[in-house]
Amino acid sequence: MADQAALQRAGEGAAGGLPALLTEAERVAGALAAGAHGRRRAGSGETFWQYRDYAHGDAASLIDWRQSARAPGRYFVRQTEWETAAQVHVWADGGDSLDYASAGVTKRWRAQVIAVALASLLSRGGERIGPMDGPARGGRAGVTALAERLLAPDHAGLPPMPPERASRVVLISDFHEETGDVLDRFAGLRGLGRPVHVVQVSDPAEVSFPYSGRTLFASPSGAEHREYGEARSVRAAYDAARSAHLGALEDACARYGWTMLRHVTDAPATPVLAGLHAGMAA
Amino acid sequence: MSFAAPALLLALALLVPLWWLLRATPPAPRRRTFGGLFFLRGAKADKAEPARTPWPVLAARLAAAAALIVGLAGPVLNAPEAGGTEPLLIVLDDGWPSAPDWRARQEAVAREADRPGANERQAWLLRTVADAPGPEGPMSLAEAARIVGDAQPLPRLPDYDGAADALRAARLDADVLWLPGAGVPDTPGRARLVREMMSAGPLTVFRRPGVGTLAITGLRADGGALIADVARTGSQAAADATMRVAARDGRTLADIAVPFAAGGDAAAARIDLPLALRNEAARLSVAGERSAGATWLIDASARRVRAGLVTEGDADSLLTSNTYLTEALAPLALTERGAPEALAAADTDVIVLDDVGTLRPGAEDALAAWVEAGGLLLRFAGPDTANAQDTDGPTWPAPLRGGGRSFGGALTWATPQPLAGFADEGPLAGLAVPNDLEVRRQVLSRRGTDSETWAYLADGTPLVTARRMGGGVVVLIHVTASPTWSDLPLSGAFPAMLRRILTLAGTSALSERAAGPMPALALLDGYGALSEPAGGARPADAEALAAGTGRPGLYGPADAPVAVNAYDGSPALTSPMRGLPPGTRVAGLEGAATRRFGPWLIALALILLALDAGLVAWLSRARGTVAAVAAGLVVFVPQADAQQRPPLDSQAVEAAQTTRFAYVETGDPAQDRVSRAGLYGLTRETLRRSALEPGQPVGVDPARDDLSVYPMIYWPILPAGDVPDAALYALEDYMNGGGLLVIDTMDGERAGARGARQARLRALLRRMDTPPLEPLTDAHVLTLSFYRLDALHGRNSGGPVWVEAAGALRETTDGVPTLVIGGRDWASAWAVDDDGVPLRSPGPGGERRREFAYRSGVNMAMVALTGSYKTDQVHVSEFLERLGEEAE
Repeated sequence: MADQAALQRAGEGAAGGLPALLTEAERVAGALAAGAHGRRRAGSGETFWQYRDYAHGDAASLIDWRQSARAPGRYFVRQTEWETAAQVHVWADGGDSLDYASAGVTKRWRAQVIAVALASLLSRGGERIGPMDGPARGGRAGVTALAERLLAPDHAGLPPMPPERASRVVLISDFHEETGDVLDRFAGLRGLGRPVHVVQVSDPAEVSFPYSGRTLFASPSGAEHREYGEARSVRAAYDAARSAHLGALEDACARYGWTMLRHVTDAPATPVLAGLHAGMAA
Repeated sequence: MSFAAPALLLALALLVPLWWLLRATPPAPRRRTFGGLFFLRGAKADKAEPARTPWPVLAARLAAAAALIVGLAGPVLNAPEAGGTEPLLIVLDDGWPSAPDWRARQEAVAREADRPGANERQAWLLRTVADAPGPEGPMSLAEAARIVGDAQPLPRLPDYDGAADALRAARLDADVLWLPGAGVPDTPGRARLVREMMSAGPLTVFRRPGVGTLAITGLRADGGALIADVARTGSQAAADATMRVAARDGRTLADIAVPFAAGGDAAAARIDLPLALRNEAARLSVAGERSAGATWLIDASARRVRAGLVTEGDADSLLTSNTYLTEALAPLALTERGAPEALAAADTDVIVLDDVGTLRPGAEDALAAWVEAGGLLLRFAGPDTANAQDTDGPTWPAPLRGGGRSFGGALTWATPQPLAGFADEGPLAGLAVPNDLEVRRQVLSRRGTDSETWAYLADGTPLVTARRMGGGVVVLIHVTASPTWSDLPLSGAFPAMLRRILTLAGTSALSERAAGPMPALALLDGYGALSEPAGGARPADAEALAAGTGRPGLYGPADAPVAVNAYDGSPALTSPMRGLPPGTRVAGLEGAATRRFGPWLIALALILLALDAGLVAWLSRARGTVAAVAAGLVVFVPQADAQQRPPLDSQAVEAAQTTRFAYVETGDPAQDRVSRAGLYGLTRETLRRSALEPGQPVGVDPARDDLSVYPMIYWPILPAGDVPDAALYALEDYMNGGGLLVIDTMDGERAGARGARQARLRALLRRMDTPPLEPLTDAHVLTLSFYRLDALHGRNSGGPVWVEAAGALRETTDGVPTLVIGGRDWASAWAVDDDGVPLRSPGPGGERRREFAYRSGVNMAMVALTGSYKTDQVHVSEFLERLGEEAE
């Protein structure tokens, strides 16, 4: 009973967060659309891609007669490449360590915003979006379904394997897992042969480590503690461990030809979104 | 500055290790949530350098520790030097000569107890003012200081003989501190006491320089004035003391200078006041001297003239002159009755002859001699006077014309005459002339040679004539002292005239002889303040009153009390320093008062520690801790008050939280069980049937428990057993507070017969203040409040049920009847066990009767709880009709 009630509360909380998440993501995505890519997308219809000359072997029914009537002697075929849009599967980590914000927003929220904003952006481009463990869908429905999935409780630490039909994979997390485990999973993903885009989210305090004095560090869930007589003295070790871990991930991404973006939550989400979008367009 | 326990200061050395300890002990870690804990997994906890305690925290803690240590060491400012180690005998004169500077004596003893090392010192306390003085002890010096601090000076002089005997018997070996009064009785006992004290050990005498005693030693009459004698010790300079004359209600009547000549120990103050004021004087006191000896209580003997009254008739009829004379004389004089010659012989100041026409020759001569000697003879006219044969004697102001004169009758021409005025040269001059005063009849005098007219009528005939004779006066009022001849006795002018006339009488300050023991009316304390006597105050017997001994104060009736004063001038007082043997130390209260600030330092330490706790909580940003510290401070402060509140009776608390019925515990276990089971059954049924949800019924002892929390109390009457008055009072209170008391005699049909229970009930009700009762009427709210019933049924339905009469219902109880008395044995009908099985047969009628009993019980409970609401419901149809009428 208690579990169910807790579940229901969590669900309601998540549902309550959904409009906020969608709104925030739309805002981020909209800023991007109005900025870098706005003009390119202006013009004729959504699904139009291009006409090409009729070639031998094309079915006669494919000819676009209206276009062909404008140019005497030429026949155009309406290309339908976008109708078989790419399936982009997005994963935003739900681990405990993302529940942390030294100030402002938590890493989890930012990861979710980036994921949904990307989904929104891609859905406007006609792509089909989905979570790692669900079907990819186009349009608003796909965005909403992804957002709902992301808000559902999830304690994955490592990125799961995407469905077979995925054409692109986006992984958003802080990747606070053992370096070896993450690299193994990356290797597994690489075996699928799909382009993967990695976004590593950090809190500004994780970057700067501004602590001193006797400090008891606790994980956001409270499950783990570490106490130091002088926090400043561990800063070097911390920095070393962090740069080694992230460096290893970056190296792996570079080796596999993936893009890896690092994002700090005190910066706006738009640049990283733009980077992601650009990486996908490439 | 010194310390009570200087050894404790060594603990200050502990501050150094404490400093190290505090420095070495790191502050509690700050708890920080951190998302990057993953990268710390590899980093070993670095012990390189423990963090330092922040210096404000360190300083606060060290200061707190230091304050605590110093505070516990007991720093004392202006501490007296150490006293000896021998036991200390404190001889305290707690008589009235000590009263003016009593606090100084208390301080002197307290200072003795404050001396370093005083804790180990034994003490004895000898209070010299007691019936049998004796040393109290041994005790600690602090205890002795506490006793002295609580003591008050008594309105007596010390008994030095008794104290000396007690000292001799006790054979103490101790240092002696004697705290004598500012003046001590100059008796042989004083020398004996000093000798005994010297033999016990070194003697120190406490003395405040420049403080002497002023005492009023007596009050006597001198003609129209009073002379107060005042004695003094301690000063020989010429000085004026001020004596205050106060009325009984505390008003100051006069301030009188008491001139002391240089070198004189006694002075006399002349109190010359108008008679009216003099009669009001109730006490003399010397300004600035708060002691019983400097206070003199004035009783009736000094206040009033003695009047002899010769009259006839009752004193309680409005038609007789006796009434009017008694009433008019009462505030002015002590009145005696008797034959004229007896009164003349008894040294009265005034003799009033009410319509005495002819005096026996012996009486005539005696009165004449008495008037010559200064008496005031006041005569009233009347039929006898008018018909007197010989009015030529010395006891008449002037010869009378026979027969008198009447006006306004059916056969007379003259109309009644008003009072025209008072003669300017007479003693009545200036009195207001009443304009509604008519004289219908009077006696007339022939023009005498030396008579004066003090008041006259409109036609010039005299109303009051007088003649001076020797040292006295003969006054004739030409009308009766009853309202038959004139309106004068009914008028306000009558007592005013009498007052004026009586001023002429000399005052002989006689002591009134008491016939028997007199109860104390008010007692003097050592400071000279009057207070109501406590319960144990003994009446003073006649000898004590006559001798002026006994506890000083006022005795007897409130309108004419007899005073016993603290001091009558013997034995004479002298300075305590006089005649002290060599080798006596004299000590005063030098220097400033001792100040202990240990408690303040400890309080400071506590505050610092609390601040420290707050600081730490703030540093660690744990809000819960800050709140807890704040809450702790808040709770800490009022705790002291809270603890002094008496704990609430847990049963009453329990009862107040749930509505429940109660029964009076009779002490008979069987009956109590039935009562309990009955109320339990009623509770069950009430729960089942109505919206009322009572809790478990309880038994109460009215004498002990708080009844006010129960809406209805069931009281079975047993034929035997005693009910204390306290219980009855509590039940009365309960009824007055609106509770419903159900008294059940359980004797049914026999109710009203002379059964044992009835007799018992009658005996109880006789002791209780119960409201008026009436038999249960038809359509009484008790039969309609929930069920419609024809009667309040119980196990038996015989006998009347009495309820509080409708006419007696009060607003304060919300119109709820507060008393139901019946013999219906309700509890037996209601009684069920825990499972709801009836305990007793329901009586004739079977279960149907039980059902009716429950209905009756529910009705009673409803009335008890809903009050006038249900009564209004009963009358709602009437209300509606009336409303309808008004609407039309």
